[in-house]
Amino acid sequence: VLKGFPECLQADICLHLNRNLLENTSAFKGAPPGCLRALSMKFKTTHAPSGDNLVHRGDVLTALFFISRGTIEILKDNVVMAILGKDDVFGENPCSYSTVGKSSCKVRALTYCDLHKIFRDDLLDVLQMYPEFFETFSSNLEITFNLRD
Amino acid sequence: MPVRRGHVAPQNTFIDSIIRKFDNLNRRFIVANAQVENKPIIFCNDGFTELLGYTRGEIVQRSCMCEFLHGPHTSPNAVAKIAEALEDSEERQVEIVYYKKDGSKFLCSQVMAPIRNEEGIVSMFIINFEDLTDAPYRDELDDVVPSIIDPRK
Repeated sequence: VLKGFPECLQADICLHLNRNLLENTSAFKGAPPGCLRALSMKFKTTHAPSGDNLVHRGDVLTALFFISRGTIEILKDNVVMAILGKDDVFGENPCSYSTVGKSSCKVRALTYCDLHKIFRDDLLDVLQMYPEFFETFSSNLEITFNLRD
Repeated sequence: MPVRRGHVAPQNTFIDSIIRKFDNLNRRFIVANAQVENKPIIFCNDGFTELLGYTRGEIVQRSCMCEFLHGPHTSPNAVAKIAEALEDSEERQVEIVYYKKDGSKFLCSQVMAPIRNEEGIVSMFIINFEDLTDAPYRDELDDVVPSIIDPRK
């Protein structure tokens, strides 16, 4: 549906849809408005029913996930490592590593989940356009569970 | 909209129901995995992060012995009692001085309860933390602990 709209309208709609995420996550505080618009275009909202595997062990960590609703469990060799919920973040901080990592764990939805997802490449592309914000973002980004192996 | 049931181990949705039941009571608690050597924290609720000043990311995976909360006035005796209760999988209440992230200290009433899975093996611990300056909540703990030991109630 969004693709049918002119780009500037798309950006405004995305900004609105992702508003909660962008306003409430400390990592985005202080971002220039253009940066927020660009980022909100790149975020994708996904849903996962109970039992769905979101990440498999060994998966390349191409995306960063923000949980907006529901709970997920993180398992390594069937041992529960963590249970994460609303406002938690999992994946790896793309600014911290020059190469993309692989997941050490399996991530599974425990209850029905709403998630915001952004691809590492998209995030880095936007941040590179706003170099003065890059550092702030990288140091403020709180990854609740770092999946990198 | 029907929820498609995946292959979720019963134990793990059980953790989620414990969390949700417990979380409604304005508690500050953590859940630890009893089957891993240093008994790491797998979950802490928002009440816990608020009380101590640490974020969930800083807490998860640390040992539920919570050494990060210890400081100069933390009694080694109290620490030993906690370690013992965890080792022996005993339900126990201990009073201990803890330090928040900002360095301030407070007297904490800590209640530890082992949770057994269907095979009777202790799979988790729930540990509740109460800042003793919130005295009115104290009597409610007696109602809470027995009901979480037997989840069938």
